[in-house]
Amino acid sequence: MSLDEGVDAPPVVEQSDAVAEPIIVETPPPFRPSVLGWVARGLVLVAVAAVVVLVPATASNVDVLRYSQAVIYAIIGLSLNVLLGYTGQISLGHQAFVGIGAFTSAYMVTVHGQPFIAAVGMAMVVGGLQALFLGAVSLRITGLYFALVTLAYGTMAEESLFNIQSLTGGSAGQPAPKPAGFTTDLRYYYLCLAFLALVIWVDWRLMKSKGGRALSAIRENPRVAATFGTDVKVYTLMAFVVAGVFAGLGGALLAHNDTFVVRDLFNFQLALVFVIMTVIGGLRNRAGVVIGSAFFALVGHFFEKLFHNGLDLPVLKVLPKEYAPIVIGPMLLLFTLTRHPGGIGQQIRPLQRWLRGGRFSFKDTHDSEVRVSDVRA
Amino acid sequence: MAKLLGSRTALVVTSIAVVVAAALLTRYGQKQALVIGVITGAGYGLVALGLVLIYKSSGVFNFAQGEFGTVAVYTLYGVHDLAGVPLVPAMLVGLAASAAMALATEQIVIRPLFNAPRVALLVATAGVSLLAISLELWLGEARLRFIQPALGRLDRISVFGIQVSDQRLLVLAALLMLAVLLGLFFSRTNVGLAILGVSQEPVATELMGISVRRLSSFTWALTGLLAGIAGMLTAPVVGSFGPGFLTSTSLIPAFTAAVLGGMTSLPGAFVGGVVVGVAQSLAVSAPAFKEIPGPGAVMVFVILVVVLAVRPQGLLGKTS
Amino acid sequence: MSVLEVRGCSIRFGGVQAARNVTLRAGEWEIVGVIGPNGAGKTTTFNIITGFYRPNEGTVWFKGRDITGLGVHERTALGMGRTFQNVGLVKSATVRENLLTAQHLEAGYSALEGMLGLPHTFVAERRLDQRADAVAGILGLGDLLDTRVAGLPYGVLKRVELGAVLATDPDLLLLDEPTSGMGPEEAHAFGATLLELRREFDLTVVMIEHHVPLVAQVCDYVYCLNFGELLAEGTPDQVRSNPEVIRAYLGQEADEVLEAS
Repeated sequence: MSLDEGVDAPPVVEQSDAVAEPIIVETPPPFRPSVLGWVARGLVLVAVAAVVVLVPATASNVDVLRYSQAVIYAIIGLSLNVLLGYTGQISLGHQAFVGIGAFTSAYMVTVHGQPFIAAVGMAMVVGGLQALFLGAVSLRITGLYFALVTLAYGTMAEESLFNIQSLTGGSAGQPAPKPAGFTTDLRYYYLCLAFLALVIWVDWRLMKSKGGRALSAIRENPRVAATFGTDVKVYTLMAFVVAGVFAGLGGALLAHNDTFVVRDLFNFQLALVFVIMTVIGGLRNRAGVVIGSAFFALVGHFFEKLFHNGLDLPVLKVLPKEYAPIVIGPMLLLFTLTRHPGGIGQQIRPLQRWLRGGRFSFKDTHDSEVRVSDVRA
Repeated sequence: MAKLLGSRTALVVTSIAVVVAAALLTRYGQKQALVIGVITGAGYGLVALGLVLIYKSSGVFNFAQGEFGTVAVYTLYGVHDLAGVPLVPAMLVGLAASAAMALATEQIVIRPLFNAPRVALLVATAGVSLLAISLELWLGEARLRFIQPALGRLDRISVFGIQVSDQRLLVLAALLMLAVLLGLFFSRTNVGLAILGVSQEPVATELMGISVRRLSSFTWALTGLLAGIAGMLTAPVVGSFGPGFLTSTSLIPAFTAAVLGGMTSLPGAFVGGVVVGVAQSLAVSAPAFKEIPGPGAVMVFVILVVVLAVRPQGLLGKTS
Repeated sequence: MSVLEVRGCSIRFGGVQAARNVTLRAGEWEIVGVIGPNGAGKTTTFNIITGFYRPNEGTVWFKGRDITGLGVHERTALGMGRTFQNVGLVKSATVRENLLTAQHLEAGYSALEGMLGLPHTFVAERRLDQRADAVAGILGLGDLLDTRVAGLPYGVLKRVELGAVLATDPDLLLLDEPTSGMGPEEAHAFGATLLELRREFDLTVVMIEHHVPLVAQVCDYVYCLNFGELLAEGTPDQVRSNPEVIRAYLGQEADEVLEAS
C-alpha cells in the first residue's frame, strides 16, 4: 500500500480503515462567513489598498520620499524576519547587508553606467553572497556567539568596507540617480511598492512550501528536522541567502530613493533600529513586520506633523524629529519584550484571522517569542 | 571541531604569537604602537571584565556595557568640566551614575525577562544601549567634547624609549589592580563566591540564606562600576568623547577579548584584552596593512572568527 | 538479505565507553527487539544507526550499502525512519504541518521553485496535503489534524510521531520505546497496530522496548544489551529465559520478566 492511493479522490479522511483506534474530538462545525461578512472583509482590504496607493498620490514630494522609505524598510524588515523569525538566527549587522547593497547599486550605475535593473540585480547578488558567507560562519558557531560575529561584521563593514573610496565615494558619498521611467518620486514609490509585493509573494510561498516548513523545523528542533529528511546546513544557508537578497534589494532601493548614498547612514544604531522594528512588528508575522517597519520609517515624519519643531518637554530639551525613532524605539522594544512578545503581529492576529474568513475573536493569540535555535553560547 | 586546539597548545601558540607581534613591532620601529596597544588593550580588558562578570553570573551578553561607561563619562564631564566640582568627587559621581544605570537596567529589563530566551535578553540590552545613545545624542548633542587627562605629565616614564603619559599608566595600573582585587574578591570573599555559585546553583544558593535577588543587583552594580572606571579612564587618553563613546571604541574589541580569554574566565578577559589591543595596534601601524581601510576593525573581526572557529571556549575558558 | 546490519560498532564519550562492539542485524520484514536495562546503550546504538553519532569503530550497513559516513537526512532519504524517546515533533506546529514537514523529500519540487510559487508547486502541495490526510486516517488522527502538537497528551503525541515517520515513506522503522507510558492493554493494541503497519507498508522494524509481553507478541528476534555490549540474542523465548538477561534486569524489572515467563 502506498500513501498515494487516495490522492485523486476527494480529500475526505477515511477513518474506517484506520489500524489504530481513531481519536475522536468534538469539533464545532467550521465557521463560514455570510455574504455580508465577505463583503465587509473585502471592503476592509480595499480600504487598506486605497490608503497605500492613493495617499501618497496627494502628498508633497518630501512626504512621498518618506513613504517610499517606509516601503523599503518593510522589505528590510521582512529580510531580517527570515533570519530572526523563521530561522532563529540573530543578525546585529544587518545594516551592513543593506549598506553594501546600496553602495553596490550606486556603484554599478554611477561608475559602470549600468541600467537600474542590472544594478539592483547585482546588489541582490552581492547581498546574497555576503549572507552566504555569514551563513557558513553560523553553521560553526552557536546562536548568541553568532550575534557577536554579525555585530563585529557590521562594524568592520562600517570601518573598512565603507571606506573603500572607489566603492563608496568616501565621505562625499556616491550618487544613485533614479531609474529612467521612474524619475518622479511618486512613480518611484509605486516601483518600490511593486518590489514589496514581490518580496511578500516570495516570503508567502516560501513559508507555504517545503522550504519554509524546513526552516520552522530547524529553528525549533534541528534533530527532528534532520530526521524528517531536511539537510539542516543547506536550508540554513538558503535562509541566509534569501535574507541577504532581500536586504540587498532594500539597500539598492534605498540608495536610489535618496539619489545619494552616504556611508554614515549605515551605523550600529541603524542595525539596532532594524532589529527593533522587526521584533516590535512581531516575528514570523508578515503583516506585523511590514507595519512595524513602516512605523519606524514614518515615526519621525509623524512626529514632525504633530510637534512641528520637536517635542517640547518640560525641563528637558526639545526632542528633534531625527532622534525620535531612536528614542521611542528602544522604549517600545523593552515594552514589547516584557509585555507583548508577539509585538504588533500578536495584536493584529484577530484581525488577520477575521480577514481570512474566520470568526473575529480575541482568543488564542499565542505569543511568537523571540526564539533562537540554540540558546546557549 | 571545537577542541581543535588543546588548552596547553592554545596558550603556547598565543604566547608565541604575541611575542612575535611584539618583536615585529619593535623591530620595525613601531614601539609606540606596541606600548599603545598594551594600554588600549588594558582598557578593553576593563570592559571585558564587566562582560564576563555578567555572563558568568546570569548568562546574559550585556550589550549595554559600553553605555554604562559612556554615561559615567558624560556625568563626569557635566559635574567636573561644566559645574566645576573637583575631580575626585566628580569621578565618584560618575561611578555612581554608571552603577545606577546598571542597577536600573537590571531592575527594569533583566528581571522581567529572567525566564525569557537568552536572545530576548540580548536584544533587550541592545535596546538599552540604543536608548542611552539616543539620549546622549538628544540631551548631550551630537558633538565631541574634549576632556583633559587627570594627570598632566606626558613624559614621566619611558618604556622602551617611548614616552608614556601618566594617564596611560593609570589605565594599566587600574586594570592590574582591579584584576587582582576581583581575583581575591571572587576566590576569598563570601559574596564573591556566592556570585559565582548562583549561576550554577541558584536554588542551593537561596537555601544557604543568600538572597539571589540581592546578589544579582550587587553584580550588576559592580559591572556598572567597572564600566564607569573603564570609561572615565579611557576618555582622557583618547582626548575626546561623543555619544556612544565607549560602545563604539571598545565594545566589540572587549567582546572579542572576552571570547578570546574564555567567556567564563575573569583572568582570561584581562589577558584577552591585552592581546586584542596589541593585535589591533599591529594592524593599524604595520606598513603591510596600509592598503586596507579600517585595518583595526578587520583584525578584531578576524580574531573573533578564528577563535570561535578553532577554540570557542577561548584560551582559559572551560567547555560548557 | 538483511536490511540493516550493525557491524562491531563502538563509541566512547570522554571516559565512557557507551557502546562496545555492538553487532546486530534485521532481515527484511522482521521485527527486531532491542532490550536491556536503562543506560545499556540502546539509544546510543540507535543514534549510531541513524547518523547522530559517528562510531569510533565499526560500520553500519543499510540495504547492502555502507552508510557509516552518511548524514542523518541522507539516511532518511534512503528509507530509514526513527522515533525518539521524548517525541520528535515540531511542537509549535499543528499535526498537519508536522505531517507535511515530514514529507520534505516527497515534495516533488525544489525549495527554489517553492518560494517562487511556480504553478506546479501548488499542485504538489495539494498532493502532500492528501497524503497527510491519508496518514492521519490510517492512525485515526483525522480529527486532530489542525490541532497544535504542543497541547496534546503524551500517548497521542507518540501516535502523531509515528504518523510523521510513516510520512517519510520508510523501509526501516527504528522505534525508541514506542510504548513508554502505556499500560498492558494499550501496549498490546500497539502491537497489533505495528503488525498491521508492517503488512500495509512493507516495513522492517527495529524496536527498543521495555514491555516484555509486547516483545514476545511481535518480535521475530531479540538483542539484549547491557553496559554498551551485546549480552544475548535469539528468539524472544530464548532471550527471556537466558539467566544472564534475567540477572541484568534483576534490579529493574524482575517482576515483569518473571510474570511473562
